Amino acid sequence: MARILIVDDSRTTRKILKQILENIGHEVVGEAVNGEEGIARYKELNPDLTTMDITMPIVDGIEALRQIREYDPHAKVLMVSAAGQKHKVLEAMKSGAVEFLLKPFEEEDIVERIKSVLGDGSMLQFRT
Amino acid sequence: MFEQHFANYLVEKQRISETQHALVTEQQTSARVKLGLIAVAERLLTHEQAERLNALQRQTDRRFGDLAVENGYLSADQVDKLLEMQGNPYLKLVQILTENEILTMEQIESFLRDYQLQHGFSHDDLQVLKSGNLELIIPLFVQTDQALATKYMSLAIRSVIRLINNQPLLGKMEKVTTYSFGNLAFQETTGDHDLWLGFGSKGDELTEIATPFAKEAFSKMDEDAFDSVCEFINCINGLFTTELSYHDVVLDMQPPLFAQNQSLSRANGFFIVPIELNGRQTDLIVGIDGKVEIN
Repeated sequence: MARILIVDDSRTTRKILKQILENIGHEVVGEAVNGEEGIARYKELNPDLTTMDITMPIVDGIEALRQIREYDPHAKVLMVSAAGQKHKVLEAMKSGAVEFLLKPFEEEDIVERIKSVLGDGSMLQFRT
Repeated sequence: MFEQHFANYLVEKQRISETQHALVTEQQTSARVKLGLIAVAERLLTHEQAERLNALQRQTDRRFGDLAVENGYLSADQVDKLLEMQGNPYLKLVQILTENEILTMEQIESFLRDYQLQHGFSHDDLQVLKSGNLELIIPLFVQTDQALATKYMSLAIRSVIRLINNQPLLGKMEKVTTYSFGNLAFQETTGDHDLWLGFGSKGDELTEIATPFAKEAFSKMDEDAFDSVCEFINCINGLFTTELSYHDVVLDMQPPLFAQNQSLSRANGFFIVPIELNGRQTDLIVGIDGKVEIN
């Protein structure tokens, strides 16, 4: 099972995501409330997967994604955001996001995306 | 939605008691409207014809619709239309009131005319309300000369119904220049338009949004409850800006914020739609193209 970092300024979304991820056996190794904190936590925790909101104070999710991918070009970042405007999705995908999930999401949506991003577990073998 | 409004109106005018109202609410979820009642309400059958068919139905193992067609009272197309209306919540209300002998059909029709006059609804408006079709009902409460504002508020109300409470009581929209609040959560969206959307309340009524959205019980508006309302607003704005982006309208959402015990003001005014959730009033507030000040 994967070690996951949640970056979102909403405590409500962090709580819901954490619950879903833990229910399917993943470990939430850390949480961050804005992009700046997200980058720092990524460097510190080196997670298998990061969920990233876009609209956040201080540093937004797209900028945090860019900086994380600069630091670790193999970083797997799943965007989980209400900001699904065409230009935002394109920017996120160009900046290296592996998937984009729109809020509000259903539990099945997140479970399916996580499965698709983590694949058959080969990345976990790489990490260990 | 309308059936609740009308049932509350009947209590307010002392046409039915609180106890009878409770019975109606309880039966509303389980009742299935009988075809005969719909046909009478739609004036396709008289009471006598419906009673005759009911009697025939008791004597034979036949469906009401088939008997109505066989006896030449209704066409097959009319029966199909009536069958489609069986889930209609207003007709359920009528059935519960008449079957429990709380009111007669004639009384209901008379009180409905009073309700229509008091609320200034046209005959067509009333038909829309009775249809239960939200796509048609919401515009009755949200009418502005700004298409963008109407679309924005309609989407917000649909989001309330989909994610928060499927039985809100809407009040008629007003345009005002100031608004005093005890609690307010809001978000600004900038770009090709400046949009402002918030939910406000005098007291802790915003917990009616915070609790279902976070799936966590809040009794007062603390920081976590505000976070939940803010995230709900963020989702509404996400849906709206995403939709507009496919029409080449570029907008960026700012992080949502909250405030307490202040006032909003805007010279050109902003729109307020009262939304009652579980008997507690919250207000949807929308401003288009112009800064909304908080002081």
